[in-house]
Amino acid sequence: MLEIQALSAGYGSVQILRDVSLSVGAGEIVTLVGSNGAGKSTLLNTVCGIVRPSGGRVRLDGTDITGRPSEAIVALGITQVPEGRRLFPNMTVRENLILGAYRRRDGHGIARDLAWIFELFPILEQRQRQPAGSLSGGEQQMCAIGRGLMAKPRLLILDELSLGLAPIMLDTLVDALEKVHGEGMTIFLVEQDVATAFDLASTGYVLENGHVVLSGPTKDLRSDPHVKKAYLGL
Amino acid sequence: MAILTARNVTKKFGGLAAVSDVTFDLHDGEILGLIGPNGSGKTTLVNVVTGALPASAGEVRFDGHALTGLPSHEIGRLGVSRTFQVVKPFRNLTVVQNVMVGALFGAVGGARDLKTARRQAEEILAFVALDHRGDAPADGLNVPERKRMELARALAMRPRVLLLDEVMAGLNPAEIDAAVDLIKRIRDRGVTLLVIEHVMKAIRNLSDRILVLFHGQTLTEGAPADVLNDSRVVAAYLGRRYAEAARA
Repeated sequence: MLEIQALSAGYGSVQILRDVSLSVGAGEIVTLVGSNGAGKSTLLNTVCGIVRPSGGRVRLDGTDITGRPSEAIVALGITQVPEGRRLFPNMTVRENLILGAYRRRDGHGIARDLAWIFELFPILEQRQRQPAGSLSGGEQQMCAIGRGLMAKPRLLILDELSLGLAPIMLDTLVDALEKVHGEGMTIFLVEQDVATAFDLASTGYVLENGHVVLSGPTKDLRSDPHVKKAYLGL
Repeated sequence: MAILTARNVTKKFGGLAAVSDVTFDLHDGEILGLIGPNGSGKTTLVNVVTGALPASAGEVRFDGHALTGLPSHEIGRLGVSRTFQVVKPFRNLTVVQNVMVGALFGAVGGARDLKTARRQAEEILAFVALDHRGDAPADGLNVPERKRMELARALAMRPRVLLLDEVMAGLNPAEIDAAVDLIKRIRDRGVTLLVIEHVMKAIRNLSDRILVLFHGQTLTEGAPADVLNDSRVVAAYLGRRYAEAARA
């Protein structure tokens, strides 16, 4: 579904990504892991049209989307759940969720998806009239994921799912994402918590200093000595 | 000996008790881990202890002083500092200038002029291994650097008690190891710490004791090995995947 080929990008004269290639198949969960400063955010910003690449191609279902503006990329079906949630804190939970669907015109579909999100995260239904800023960190992450799903994307990108979450809250989110995946959603997960990322994803890529140093099935990466030492802390 | 005591601390927002009747001691020289689900009241408790929010009931004492009712800058002057979960530096100041603010408004014995403040700030930046970024603008830092600047800012206040609110969120395992090492070195300088963290590896390695909050109340308190194996803590906080990994 998503095909990144020999992508290079940076800011001004500083090159961050060098010759990065990766692919996310339809219906798959793929993860990209790496340290702070490895280039994960730059890669997401390039895919989502915020940073223009200096070389390489990004394709979505065969359509070349390299360098297209963000709104065009969202329209083609890529939605990002940003690092740190970025909800509108003074708007209600329900308003935040509905905003995710601002491009859609299928009223019935929107209502159905809202009901589905409330089923996925029952606490959001209970708190739908509260300002999003009054939610706990875990509930905010649920709301951010819900807002992303309301756009009805073909590819859902999650940036730092685990940030600031209690272990048990992460269990809940992992379960919910497995359900979403079970309904056919393709997910690209960029994550610092490598153990959780590998629990969810079937394929993984390891980014270091702007290029992919390792990739493959997560069950193989999990036993790789370098990954164990540098990322799993074993 | 307890350097800081909290007795029956309660904080209500409208009808909701975010913290309810919490009592704990912070012993001189220890590291107390504070864990609990998102929304269980950890940050609110820190806000009450440091005067960012007034307590609805209860009492906090530090080294013989009643902190309850004091404004936060006076609590800082007395020697109690904290870091914030969401780091909000003065973006138009450099890193060293941000840390100087801490030095200038910190505990008695700290800098009261810019020259001394700069010298103290530079010293602390070296201690947290951020001296090479001293002249960078504060908003030019990456996540681990921002977290270390936040620590440096709090340390520049020369605290005797330091409350850390999720200084490891967003760090990878190697960066977490470095942060654990840094926090142990802070303790070795004679600072007593309360550490809020969701990173269990760090909590296990750092804490002398752990306090668990659940729905604003104390669920349990004790030695790390006991607390982290307590079935109530697993059910309320640690969860299934943690328990599976611990068994493996």
